[in-house]
Amino acid sequence: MNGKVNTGSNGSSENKKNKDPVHLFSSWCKKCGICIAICPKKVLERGPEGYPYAARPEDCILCGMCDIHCPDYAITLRKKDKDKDKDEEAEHEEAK
Amino acid sequence: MKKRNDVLLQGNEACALGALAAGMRFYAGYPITPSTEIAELLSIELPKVGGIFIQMEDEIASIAAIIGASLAGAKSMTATSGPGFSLMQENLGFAAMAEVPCVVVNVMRGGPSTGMPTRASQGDVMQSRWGTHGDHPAIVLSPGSVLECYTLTVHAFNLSEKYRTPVIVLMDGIMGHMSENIKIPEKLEIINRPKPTVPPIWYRPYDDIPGGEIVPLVPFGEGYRYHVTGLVHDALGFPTLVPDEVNACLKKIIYKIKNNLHDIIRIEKYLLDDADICIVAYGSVARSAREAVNMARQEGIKAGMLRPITLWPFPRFNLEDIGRKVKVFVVPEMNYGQVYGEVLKACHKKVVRVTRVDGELITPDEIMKKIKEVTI
Amino acid sequence: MMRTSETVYKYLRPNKKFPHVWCPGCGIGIVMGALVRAIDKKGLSKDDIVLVSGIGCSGRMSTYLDFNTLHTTHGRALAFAAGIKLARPELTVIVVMGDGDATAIGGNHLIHACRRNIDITALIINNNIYGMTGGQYSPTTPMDKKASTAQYGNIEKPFDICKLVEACGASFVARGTTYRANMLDPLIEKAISRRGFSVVEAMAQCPVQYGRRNIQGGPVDMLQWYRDHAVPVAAFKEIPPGEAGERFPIGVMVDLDEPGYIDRYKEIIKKAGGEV
Repeated sequence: MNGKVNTGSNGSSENKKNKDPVHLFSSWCKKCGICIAICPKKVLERGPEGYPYAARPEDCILCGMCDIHCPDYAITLRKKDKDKDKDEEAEHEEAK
Repeated sequence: MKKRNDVLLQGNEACALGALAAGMRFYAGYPITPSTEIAELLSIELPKVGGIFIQMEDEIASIAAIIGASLAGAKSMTATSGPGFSLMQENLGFAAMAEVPCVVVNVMRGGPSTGMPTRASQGDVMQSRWGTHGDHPAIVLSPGSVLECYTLTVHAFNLSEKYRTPVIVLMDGIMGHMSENIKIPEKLEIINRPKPTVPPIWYRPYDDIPGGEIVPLVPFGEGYRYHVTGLVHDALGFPTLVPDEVNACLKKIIYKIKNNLHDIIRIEKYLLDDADICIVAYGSVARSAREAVNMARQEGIKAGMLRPITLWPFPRFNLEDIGRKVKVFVVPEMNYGQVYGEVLKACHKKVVRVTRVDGELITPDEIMKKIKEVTI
Repeated sequence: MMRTSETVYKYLRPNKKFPHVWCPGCGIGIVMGALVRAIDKKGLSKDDIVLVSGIGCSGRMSTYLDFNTLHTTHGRALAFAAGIKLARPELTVIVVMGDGDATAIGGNHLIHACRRNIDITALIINNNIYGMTGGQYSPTTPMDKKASTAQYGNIEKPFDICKLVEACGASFVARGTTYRANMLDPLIEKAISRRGFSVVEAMAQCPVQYGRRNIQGGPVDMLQWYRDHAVPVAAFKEIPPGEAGERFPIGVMVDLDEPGYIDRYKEIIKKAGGEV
């Protein structure tokens, strides 16, 4: 990750920046629970179907522990820059 | 060794030199009597031509290493005898399944088990055909002279590269240790591995091309990344359990041999045109059989000999033809009748055998005695 | 921050079905991620890598990764790999084996590959059990642990793979665990960079066949067990003899950087008067 995003210098709020930082590719996920347990900030929780989801996205420090320990390559962290663009696009859509 | 065309050579040495002439550049083996001279000579000769000689920890590793080397593009070979050949069976099946060319020389000694290391036998004929598990193809060549130890080793590499399959040179202890003066052939046909004609994205290493064309095996490291496995695989080489794909995979490895019998099978006929009695003999025993035919002819008995140079696939169609003309088949061999059974299957004529398993060569007199028995 | 998943996607075969065959929580996937990161970091071309695997759970790795791949017979991966490396020394040959594959049926090939110091990287994924065949005890199953063929507890002494290969002459030996997955990639990267025979033993959890039988809990509990029992080599040396218990050392054990078999064979070719 580049440092730009983490410093928050792009003007967006802390919350929005970390909004749903975790990407889950559920069709590859086998619900083993390693990501949930390994997260040092306890961001993840098991959802009703057993899949992990970011219950406390604002706590995510983007350390990548979930990503590196996922045996199924089913979880990764969002690329912030691209996502920011996407979010802005979404906002535009809404505004229209 | 000096390059001369007329040399006194042992069968084992001729085999090693034949392999070098065929372009073999990788040998892995484990010492075992009576095949060791092949390894010893190659340990001297291979480094001279930049080739690799390695003595592995056992025969299992030896055949594994030559399959690996072949996948990396080198013509490769190993040599062994009965007990080592037993150890190689698993990976021989791998080479057949994964369609990797390689040559295995088995200088047969007395068996079963450790048997008689220093005595000859022909007891591995069936093992060379059915030694590894599952239905699989087999090409097995049986030299009958020191010169043939040379030329058939070259031929073994040619067949192996052409049909992408392991080829076995089945010598016996007498053949391996017998010395003869031979003229090393100046020019022999050498078949090298063809280059792929398609770009990597189109490459299907195990494709079943209608018409039986065999897909070239591209060495690792040339940009054609593909998967090789001993599991039943699809056209791309990946494991499959889809019945149609399984059928295609297994049929293909068998039928690439079955559909090319005319090209693969070699036989020698000796005085068979007017023969009433046909001796079927191979390897060193064929030399006694030839002499027995001469003896019989002198006594006015119309005997002839068929020598299968290709033992597997067995030349049964040739035998069927001969079976229409002759009255009796005599099969002398240094086992309890392994080829005898095949002859029996191939023709509905009287078939008798002359067997010997005590490590000694069957003599012309013994064969002659049998010929006389059946003529009466 | 490392993006394992995205790096791995670059090296997965596009025509293979995912998710992969390994059970939920299996450590092999984590080790495969580390291997891919190490290769990615070294910047090796996919065409120049040969991945050889044996039989068993770990053997399936060769199917998934987009290199030149060879899935061999059980235990023989190193012997196949030796042939490939010697015939084409310019290729990077990596062998992936399980503990049973490498040290039981392939034990002879392993010790001789070490002794010859053949220029290959061996990645031994040790899950202390035969997973694919249903949880039979392997040469690395600890004493008293249960397996489907050791229902009353295992009575055989386990191998210490690192000590074994060190004694046999491997020129680079290291051990890591899936708990410290990020430590695995520098170990693998170093192993690939070294001449001679390199071994990395990756301790990987098998929650289904081993953990469940030995009441170690699920994958998470097994990772935590690694956290509590894996001790860096230097700290492990400080532990008084006999007090280590179930703890084991991790990190680089041997790093000799000696000339390997290929260098020595080139000398042979010169002596014989051949051209290298």
